[in-house]
Amino acid sequence: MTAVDTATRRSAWGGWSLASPLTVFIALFFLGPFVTVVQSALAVDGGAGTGNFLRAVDSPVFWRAVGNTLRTSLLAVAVTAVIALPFAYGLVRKPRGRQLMLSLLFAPLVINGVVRIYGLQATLNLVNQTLLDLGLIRTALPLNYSMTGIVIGLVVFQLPLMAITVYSSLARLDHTLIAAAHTLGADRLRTLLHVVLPSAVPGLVGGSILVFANSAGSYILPAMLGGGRVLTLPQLVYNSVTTDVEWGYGSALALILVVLVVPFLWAASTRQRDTGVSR
Amino acid sequence: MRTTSFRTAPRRHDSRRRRPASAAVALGAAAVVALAACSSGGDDVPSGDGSGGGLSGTITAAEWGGVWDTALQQVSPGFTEDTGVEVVNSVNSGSVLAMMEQNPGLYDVAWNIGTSGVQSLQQGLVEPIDTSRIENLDAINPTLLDALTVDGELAAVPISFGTTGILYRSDLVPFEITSWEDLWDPRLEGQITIQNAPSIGGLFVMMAGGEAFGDGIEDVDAGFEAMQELEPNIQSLYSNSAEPINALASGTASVAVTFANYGVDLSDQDVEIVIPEGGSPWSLQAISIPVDAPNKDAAYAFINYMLETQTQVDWADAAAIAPARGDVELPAETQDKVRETPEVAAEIWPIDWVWFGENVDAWTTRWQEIFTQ
Repeated sequence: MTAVDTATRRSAWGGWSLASPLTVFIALFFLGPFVTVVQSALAVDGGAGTGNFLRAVDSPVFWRAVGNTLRTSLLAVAVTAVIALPFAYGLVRKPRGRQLMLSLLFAPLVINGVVRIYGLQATLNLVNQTLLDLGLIRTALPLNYSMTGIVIGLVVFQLPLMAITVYSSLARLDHTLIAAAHTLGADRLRTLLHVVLPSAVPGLVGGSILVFANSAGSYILPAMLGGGRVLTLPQLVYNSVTTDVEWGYGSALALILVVLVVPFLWAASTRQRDTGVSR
Repeated sequence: MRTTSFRTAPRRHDSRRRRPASAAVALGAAAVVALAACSSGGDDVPSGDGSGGGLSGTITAAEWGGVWDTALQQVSPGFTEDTGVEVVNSVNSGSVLAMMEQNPGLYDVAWNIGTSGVQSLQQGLVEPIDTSRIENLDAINPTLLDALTVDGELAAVPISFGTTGILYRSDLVPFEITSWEDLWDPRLEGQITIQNAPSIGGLFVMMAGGEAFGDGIEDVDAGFEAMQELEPNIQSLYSNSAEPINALASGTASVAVTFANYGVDLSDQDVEIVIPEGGSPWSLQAISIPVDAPNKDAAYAFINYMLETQTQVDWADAAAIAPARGDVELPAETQDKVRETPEVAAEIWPIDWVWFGENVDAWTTRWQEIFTQ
């Protein structure tokens, strides 16, 4: 055995021994509960079967919830991406005030989520009242207790995730290339599309994964801002498990939610490649 | 940009790198097995038969939290003073049924509403109440007792009850609301908040629809047709008891269907409380004893404590809820908080909680088809 072999083996053991605590943690707090959920979902009439899954797909309310979950999550991804990209680019291009902007971006996270939702509802009501008082609208806009309200809430909550991910990606952008593009005659739009945007794509993809997964799995925000009128899969899961005490059906719904999210994550991750130009 | 590899030896990672990886995976698998073994074992949970000697130790109560927990914190110390038994309140905002299922042998008493009370008996989670051990049983409103009786067995002992009423902002609603039918007035379009199914508060409105437009509270088809007609008036479906109060206080909603007594604190904000004549739905707060309760003697003692005259008064004051005993007279300052007068108590609807519990899943599906986008 050569010295390199020994060093390689030590390196391998060292790496895996460092990873073992995380492996144990994931096994205990993710894989273990996941196995329990799968067992519960497949438990039907004392045996095993797919009855809970068939019950779900037979229900029009289930499909309505699936549609709402996907719609709100994809809209949240799209809107946060549109807002986060110029924000992150501004942070990169203008170092002055960067720390303040980042602090303002993350400051709301220290406030309890339910309190933030109540505050958001009050703000949306205030917006409606102001527009009504100014005579700009005749009837209140469906901002609260609606799909619109849910998407607004998801954007408010998930924007920091998308913004920081895009910022991290754009931070590796070589600014001399922008200057070079201008020197070679590219206008701002072409520079944005052909130099800046490719650098942002990995961050956008990464942020999309996080925002979609968080949005699809969110319970309290759609429950409150939807006013019970917009049913999502997490709400169905909650009702099944805590109110109806139907563990099997709730477990099946939870697994279906995982199955819905995974293809998006896979599609996003296969598209993720470092197309940005680094220093 | 090409990177230069500094690797000078051919990569031989297959067997050597696989071993540490396998060890980590094996460690993780062992952790899963250990977790499964820990979760499946119930032998370490004490399973006393409740027959041992005098009262001692503690009792653990499964309850709903919120206003109920606050009230219990005020009332329970009296039991501890009398008996030396400490009451440990275990809060879960979800179903008490789920709490009992998940934690067998943990609870000595379980607070139940009507549906969960009969369901827990039917599912074998609680034992039938030994009525010979309940003092003051005869003083309890018979409608409440009947509602919790399944095949001659009492599932839980009623401690209190509350009627559902209509709370509305008199400054925002252009007419006086006096009956359940008034909820269907087109002038209330987009102004009403009601509880979401499968919680019973929302389904009470369905029963009110059956009562108002059909053959009675059990005319479910008429009730759901009425809900379809009511849908344009519904602004939101709330999930927790604070939401309708906040909505009324802020003016977001001008009408809420919830516990009538919740409106008492809002009377200075132009909120009127209506318990329509001709009867109203109601919910009760009752105590069951889980089959594997470790301290059953103390559990029965706690139930009897909650039915004592002074405790009934204290509980009514703390929780703003009507006592289950019809012979308890509330002092004036407490009666101001509790809208369930003897006249109201005499007219509460005879709800069959067994029938309710058997149908709530199907009703919830019909409800969701009407109200969800």
